[in-house]
Amino acid sequence: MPIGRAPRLTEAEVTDEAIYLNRRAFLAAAAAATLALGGSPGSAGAGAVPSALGPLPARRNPRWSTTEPTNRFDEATTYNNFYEFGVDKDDPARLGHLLHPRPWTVQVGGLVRKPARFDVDDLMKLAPLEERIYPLRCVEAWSMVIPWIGYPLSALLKRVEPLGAATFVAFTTLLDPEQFPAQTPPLLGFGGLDWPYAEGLRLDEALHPLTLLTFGMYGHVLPNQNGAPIRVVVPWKYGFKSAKSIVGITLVREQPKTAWNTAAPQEYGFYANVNPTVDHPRWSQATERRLGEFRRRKTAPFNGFAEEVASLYTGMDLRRDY
Amino acid sequence: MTRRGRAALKAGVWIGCLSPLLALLYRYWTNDLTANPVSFLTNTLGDWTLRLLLTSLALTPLRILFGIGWPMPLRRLVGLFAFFYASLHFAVWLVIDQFFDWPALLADILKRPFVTAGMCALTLLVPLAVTSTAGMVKRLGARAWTRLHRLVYVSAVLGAVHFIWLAKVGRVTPYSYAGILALLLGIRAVDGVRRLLRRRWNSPSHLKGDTRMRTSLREWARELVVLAGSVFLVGGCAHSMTADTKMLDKGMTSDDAGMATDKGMSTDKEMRQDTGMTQDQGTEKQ
Repeated sequence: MPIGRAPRLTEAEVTDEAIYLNRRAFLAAAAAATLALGGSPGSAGAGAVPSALGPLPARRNPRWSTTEPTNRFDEATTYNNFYEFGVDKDDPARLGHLLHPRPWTVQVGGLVRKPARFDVDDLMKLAPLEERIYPLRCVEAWSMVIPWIGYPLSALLKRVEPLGAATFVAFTTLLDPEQFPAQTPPLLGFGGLDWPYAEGLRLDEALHPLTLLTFGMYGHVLPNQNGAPIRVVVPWKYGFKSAKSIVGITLVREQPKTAWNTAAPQEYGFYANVNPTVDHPRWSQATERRLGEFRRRKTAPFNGFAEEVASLYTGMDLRRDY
Repeated sequence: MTRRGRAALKAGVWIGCLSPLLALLYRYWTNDLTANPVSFLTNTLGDWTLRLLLTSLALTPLRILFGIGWPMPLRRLVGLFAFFYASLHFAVWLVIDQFFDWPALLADILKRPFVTAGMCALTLLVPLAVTSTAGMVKRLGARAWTRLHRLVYVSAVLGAVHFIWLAKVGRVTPYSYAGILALLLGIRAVDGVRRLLRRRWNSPSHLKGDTRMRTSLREWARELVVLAGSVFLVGGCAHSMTADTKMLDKGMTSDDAGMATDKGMSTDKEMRQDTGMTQDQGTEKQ
């Protein structure tokens, strides 16, 4: 059964969208003039993709995709939170070229029977790639819809055979101030996040078919600013849960320390499920701005995936475990 | 300064202060307002509000420190432009971001400390903008007018706090703004204390009447308050963001706890209802 719901658009919203696209038309034309258009079979109307990004063909999986219209490629690649490059939204696009996504290896270990070090190109062939269209809801109350390419993380986890004691999965992002300039300790000792960026999921969350080990988007390999060459996408959680540029996946017994939760525990929970009824201390999570839309829209519980994932949290108080 | 020189100076201020807005308009026409134009507009207008407010507050220290007095008459104009950008900043939030969602707006103003601080800062600027004309100076009397316009210090502090409280961990800019503000207020305070001291030393004590003593005591107290205020502000900055977020969060956690006990049940039910609805829609489609 497809989880994609027909977009609930009123007449007014449709008009907005049309005006919006029209307004953008000449920008797209300008972009097309300077950039070679990359063919992206699964994602029509996604905007120009620079040819420098290798194509990564994958068949769309409608079972796990939303039917909402995707955001433009340039929106998804110029407005990013990737603090390794800097705190501003345009820093990742500006400084992304510093990251070298090849060669790249990922160490998968911890409480597993068969720990292994994978080259990212081999990892890409471990399971068939598929395209998933997910809404991405940032904890800052904005969102976009992105066609990701990857396969369920569970395929990799099953390959390394988790031991019975494994309860959590910890993700580690690359630590290298040469490639990630913002990892250089700041002059004034103004703390930000502890590097390397760490994220984590409960094992059952990590094994959920929605949790995508991701290598590409918009029919191409991941741009550096979006977490090249390998990241996870956990669509029912706030964006910061989806670790980028991963070098380590470790199965552990205890709930791992995670970057934002450590930096500001009252603001960013470990679970961080999208939840319109639990506000961030400094702003409401009831609504969000979908990039490209004029009016705010209501935020859906679990980012619209309640049907699929709510059962993971039965018996839990999600106001406490936000 | 000649009349022509003054006019040229004013024209320069107008151009300088309007250029950020023109730059925004240009970016609008060239579709360059980033992927999130609303947020970009709000942030840019807020930035310029603080920058202009700090500029208008920097002119007096400029005279105190370096004896450069000619920009002093521009304080009011720059201050008015700060108010102009603050109003635009507010208007974008009210109209484009929240689209007159009054309950949400009110909840934000009451519940979010950074919004409360920002609203207070803007509100305090309103009487200053209203009384900014030469006619109002006459009507109020120079003394009362000057006293009223000291509210700008409070507004600027609230503005700086607003920026610190809304920023995420790891941002340095809000603290640099607060630091500059503390410096500008500190220079005033030190200068005030210095002048009081000089006046005391220079005047023979037998000439001082009781009233004079009392006035100077009051002035002393005032300078001390300003000094203490700026020391507090500098201290707050140096103390880094952890102290601030902790302070903020303490307030928030108790608030959230209260909400959880009040509404925990009902929201759980709502969540389940929402889940039910999605399921219904799913079956319909099948």
